[in-house]
Amino acid sequence: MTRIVTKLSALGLLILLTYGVLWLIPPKPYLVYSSILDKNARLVTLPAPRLIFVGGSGIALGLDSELIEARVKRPVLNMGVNAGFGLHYMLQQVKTAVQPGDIVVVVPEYEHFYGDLLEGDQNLLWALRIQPSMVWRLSWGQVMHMLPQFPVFIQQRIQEIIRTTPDPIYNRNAFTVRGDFVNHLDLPSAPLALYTIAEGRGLNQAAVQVLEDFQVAVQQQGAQAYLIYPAIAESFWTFGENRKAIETLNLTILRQNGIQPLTTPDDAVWPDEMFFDTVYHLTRQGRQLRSERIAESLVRLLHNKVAAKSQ
Amino acid sequence: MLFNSIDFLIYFPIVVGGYFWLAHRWRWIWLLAASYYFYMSWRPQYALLLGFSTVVNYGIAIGIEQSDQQRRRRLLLLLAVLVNGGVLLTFKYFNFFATSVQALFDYFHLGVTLPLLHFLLPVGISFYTFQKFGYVMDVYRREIPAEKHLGYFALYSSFFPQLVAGPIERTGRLLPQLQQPHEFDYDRVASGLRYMAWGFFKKLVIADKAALVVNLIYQHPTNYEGWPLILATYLFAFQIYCDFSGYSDIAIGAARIMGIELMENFRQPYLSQSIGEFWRRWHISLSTWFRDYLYIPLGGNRVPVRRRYLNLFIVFVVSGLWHGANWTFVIWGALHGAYLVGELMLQKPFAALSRRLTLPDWPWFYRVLKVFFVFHLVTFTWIFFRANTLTDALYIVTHLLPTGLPTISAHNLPVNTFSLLIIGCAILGMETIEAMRQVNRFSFQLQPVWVRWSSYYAIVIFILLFGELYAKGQFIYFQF
Repeated sequence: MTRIVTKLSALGLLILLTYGVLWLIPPKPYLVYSSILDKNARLVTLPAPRLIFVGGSGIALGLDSELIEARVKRPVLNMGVNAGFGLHYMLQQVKTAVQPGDIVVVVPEYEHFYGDLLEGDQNLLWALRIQPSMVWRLSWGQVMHMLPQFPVFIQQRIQEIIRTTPDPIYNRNAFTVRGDFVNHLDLPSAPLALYTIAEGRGLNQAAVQVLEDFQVAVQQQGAQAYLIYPAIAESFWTFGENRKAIETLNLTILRQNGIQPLTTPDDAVWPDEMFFDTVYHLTRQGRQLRSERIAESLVRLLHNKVAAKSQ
Repeated sequence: MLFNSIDFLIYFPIVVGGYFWLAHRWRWIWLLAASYYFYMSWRPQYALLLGFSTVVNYGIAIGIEQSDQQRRRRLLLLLAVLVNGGVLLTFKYFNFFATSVQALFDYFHLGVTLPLLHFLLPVGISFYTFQKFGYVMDVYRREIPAEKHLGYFALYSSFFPQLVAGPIERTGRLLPQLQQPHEFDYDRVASGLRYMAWGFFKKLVIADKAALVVNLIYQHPTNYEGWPLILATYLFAFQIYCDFSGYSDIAIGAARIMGIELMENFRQPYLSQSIGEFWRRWHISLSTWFRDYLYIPLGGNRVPVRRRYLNLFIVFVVSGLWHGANWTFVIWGALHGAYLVGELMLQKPFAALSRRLTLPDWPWFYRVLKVFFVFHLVTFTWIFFRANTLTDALYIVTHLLPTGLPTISAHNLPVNTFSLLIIGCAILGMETIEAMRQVNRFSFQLQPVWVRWSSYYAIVIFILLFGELYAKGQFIYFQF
């Protein structure tokens, strides 16, 4: 028995070594994930009070930060890259960089609350490969969730190593200085793939708790955190039990009385023709209308704050 | 629990560790519990069906053995047919027959609505039902004694490596092995692990990658014509071979590690030179089951030639129906039956023609020609096997002919995956050719250490780097 265990362990070690080498090969600088570095650099240098949007690709592709900056009269930073980083990681990324007076607007995607995307998928490993220092901020749950994703991440790494040219759409240069993704704005839309959010799984209470904890932490740093529901396509909203699942989530968040949603979920539902390639990715027109609606909510929020202060 | 899941990677070492750690007299309990756990991970309720089928067949076999009256023995055998057939009919075929009869009623505007059952098909029901019915038949024929130890019989009926997709083992082979003590043997364990690795390679690297293209096209075949349909059909031929033989290799390897030898289920079937040979190399445990428990009782080769042909045809139609409750499977079986009858009928004219063309003087070319011909006949039948409906199958058959030169990217196929798949197929081809040359694929334990280690490393790294690791691809034969 010892002999076979020893040999299997040796083989396992060889495989791990191969994985190690593939991990260490530097990623291409033009990868879409590398935009994290640009966003973080701006997060650190931009003077407060700021407006920071946190989320996945939905907010990356669906926000016109320039428009919002003009309306709200505050510098805006869009931190959105990929929902697969996990809600937990996205919040960890900004938590320590928040400054007094900042407003953080969290725009999670519904898969963060149903299923196991709270802790991320193989995309989290990409984020860590780009920004290895973040490893020390991960929770035990994130580490345990991340390890089984390693083989798939390595498979993606091989494809990335073999590839000699950047992806024409999803690359680092697709982001504006404020962090908005703009490469898709003039591209034709593709048919949307619909699916059920919950797929028989209940609401992940841990995800709601992560949001609440974030709000408390941000408040302690003299800033404020709010929630905005992600923009989704109308057919996705009405597909299967999606609407019910989203309303259950909204009710749960309202009952917690912690982080306040600035809008309702149905405020963020838009016609299908305003989506680019997924039910979360807005087109130019959708992005424009959505940004105007967000700007209105924020202007109202800031106005109410000022009014409350003056009383 | 799928073999290609992380759950199995945890489950299997625990089961094997426990098996060798326990004294022999406790091992059957451990393996029985592990086998039921394995089965219950799909749907716990269906363990009741497995248990029911086990107890009933156990009782019937003892009843047959203890009875001296032939009439009573026959009645008990009939009871076994009714119980096993009833289980299959209720859980697998009821809706198929009901919808077929309903279509007939609707055609004649009879205004009758037949009820449908809404059960989920229990995984592996056809495999374990056939295995147990074979056991009762063997006892009836006095070929083996009835097993008195219910625990061992339950283990034989539920032994996890072969429970859900075979090989359909014979009692006389498997049961005594389960009762014998097996010590840990390094060479045997290493050989079992090699079998498993090869099975995982075939499943994850070839079958599941091929599935990406096959599913895309066969899900909506009317979106395509010509080359994509041809490509998907060829790929399905390799997908089903690698999926099913991959499963069998994992099952054989897993059992071998514990000292239990399961029967070979495949012997490079696509290198067959006749349809008859194909069926001696493809799903051997099922082919021999049908031979022993259906073809021979129908009269076998001892009947007039025409009756023999009819019997062969019946066996293949039933085999088609065994695979699935759908007319597509019936046609698949009927096509194979027709091929085989045609082959037997045309044997002499074909031999005369080949002599006239002096083909036997070119043995290598003649062999390749026959292999090519048989492979394409078989691949044609896979269209019916894979198509979701008869309408889809007929559409594919009538739109197979290409209209121009092959183009792949124009049809929005996952080309990257496809190129990797080519590598996989090439490796499989190499393996098959090696086997044809009678170079045993696992004989490399006689090779120098660096060759062996490079091979182990290559196969594992290939699975990890190119396999569809989290596709959760069910084995195709689980649905049977």
